[in-house]
Amino acid sequence: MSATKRVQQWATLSRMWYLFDAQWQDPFRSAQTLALYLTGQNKPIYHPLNDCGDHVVVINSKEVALRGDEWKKRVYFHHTGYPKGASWTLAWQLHEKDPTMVMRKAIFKAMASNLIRRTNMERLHIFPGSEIPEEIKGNISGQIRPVMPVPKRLTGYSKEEIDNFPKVFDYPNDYILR
Amino acid sequence: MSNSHLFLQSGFIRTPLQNGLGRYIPQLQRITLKFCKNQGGSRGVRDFIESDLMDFAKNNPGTVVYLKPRRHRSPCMVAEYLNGEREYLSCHEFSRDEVHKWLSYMCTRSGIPVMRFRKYQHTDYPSIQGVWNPFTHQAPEINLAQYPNDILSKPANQGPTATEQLIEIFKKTQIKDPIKPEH
Amino acid sequence: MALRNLSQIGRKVFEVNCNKSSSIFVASIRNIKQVTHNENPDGTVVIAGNYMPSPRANQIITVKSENEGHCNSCYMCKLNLDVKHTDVLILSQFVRTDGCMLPRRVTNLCKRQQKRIGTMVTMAQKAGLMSNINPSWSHKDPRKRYQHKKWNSYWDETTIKC
Repeated sequence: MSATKRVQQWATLSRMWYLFDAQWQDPFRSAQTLALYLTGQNKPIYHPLNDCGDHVVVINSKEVALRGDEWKKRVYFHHTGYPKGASWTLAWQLHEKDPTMVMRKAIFKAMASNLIRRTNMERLHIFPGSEIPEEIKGNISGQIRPVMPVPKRLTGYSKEEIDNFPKVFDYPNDYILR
Repeated sequence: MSNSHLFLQSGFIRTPLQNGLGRYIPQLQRITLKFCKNQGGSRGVRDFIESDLMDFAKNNPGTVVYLKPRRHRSPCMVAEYLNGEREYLSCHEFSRDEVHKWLSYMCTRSGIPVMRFRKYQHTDYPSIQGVWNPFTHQAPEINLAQYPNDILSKPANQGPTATEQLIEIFKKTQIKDPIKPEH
Repeated sequence: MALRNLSQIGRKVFEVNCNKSSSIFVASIRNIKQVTHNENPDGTVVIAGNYMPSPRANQIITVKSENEGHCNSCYMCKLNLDVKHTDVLILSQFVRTDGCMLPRRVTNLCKRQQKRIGTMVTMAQKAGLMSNINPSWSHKDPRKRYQHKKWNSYWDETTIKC
């Protein structure tokens, strides 16, 4: 193999490091996207025997948003293997214990159950906050777009923005504004 | 579960000598027909030798044809190819037509053994525009981008929200006729 | 004389703008009616309640085109916007400062829109995007809520049943 072809092959099979901001993202919807990147299915060179998965760095996993009242409805089951060893943990309790766990389990579930699933999971790096270690931050060479728009709180707008925003109706004359 | 994969070779698709482009060389170099002069199992082979073999030899001058009579044994044919491969075929109780058909099959084969293809396509030129890599078709700005990036932090293909639409409608109405206070 | 004029004002809300009669101040925030206090040269005192322009008057949006909505009479149906619970700038117009939804008598919406917007206001409040019970200037952190309310959640508008 010539030197050019060898370098070309390195480029083709090189691993990318992608950043994903999980702020206000549904972990189960974003897991569908992230699983593609972790298994390499976003690449045209993908083949089941081709180990071409990328690294994904998830930040702000503490800020994920679940739909509706899923925080108190979703239950995670664990069994120690001993009698009476079953335990059920609500999603909000699990998130309090480990803010990366809901995201990690969602991505693990979104990937196909096979022998390379755990190898691909090794390439997932989840951080609860927005801080990334320097050695990981230096590798990042791309970003995965979020799946949902990030909402803005009303307190995030200034008073001028709220006052100047077009109003859809006016109060009746005899209305006491409170 | 079958064990067929234990016996069936696997490999990649290939053709000898650029698919015969330019000058055709017959790949079948030598064919040996073994048969018995007495037994019924060789009858079709004997018929073929009597009536059709001379024509076959004339039509394929690049192929050496051997005949090997042997006593009280089942007939067979052995084809030997340019690439060194050797193909054996039992012709027991073959009719004359069957022998003819198998012989023409051996004659037109390339000699590459029958195998399971690991890929169904092959090209000497995998890509004209260059082999893909993760930076193919990427905007050049990402070379200097800092992450997290503001543009990439928004979802793709997102239409305007109702808030943005309302501001747009309000701007349009203001341009046409400025609203005066009603009271 | 002054008392008679005051009785004509009736149940209207007003603010007294002059320093002399600040004792008859009733409600402040809404300047819908203003009491003016004039002394004529002949000695008569005229106290009149005049309508004031609404603070929203310059920002009111008027829809002229008849869009295909649920009904023709309601302004939200005419606007025909896909309002979501994240559009807090729109939803905050329909609530009082304590976060309660305004009644239909005030908002003048059709029944369907009143239900939709009322539900979306609740969604926004549960998601912590708009404050509930607290005044609008409150900076109360939604993260300080308890248990499952502590974490971010979003709602699906297709679940509104109307």
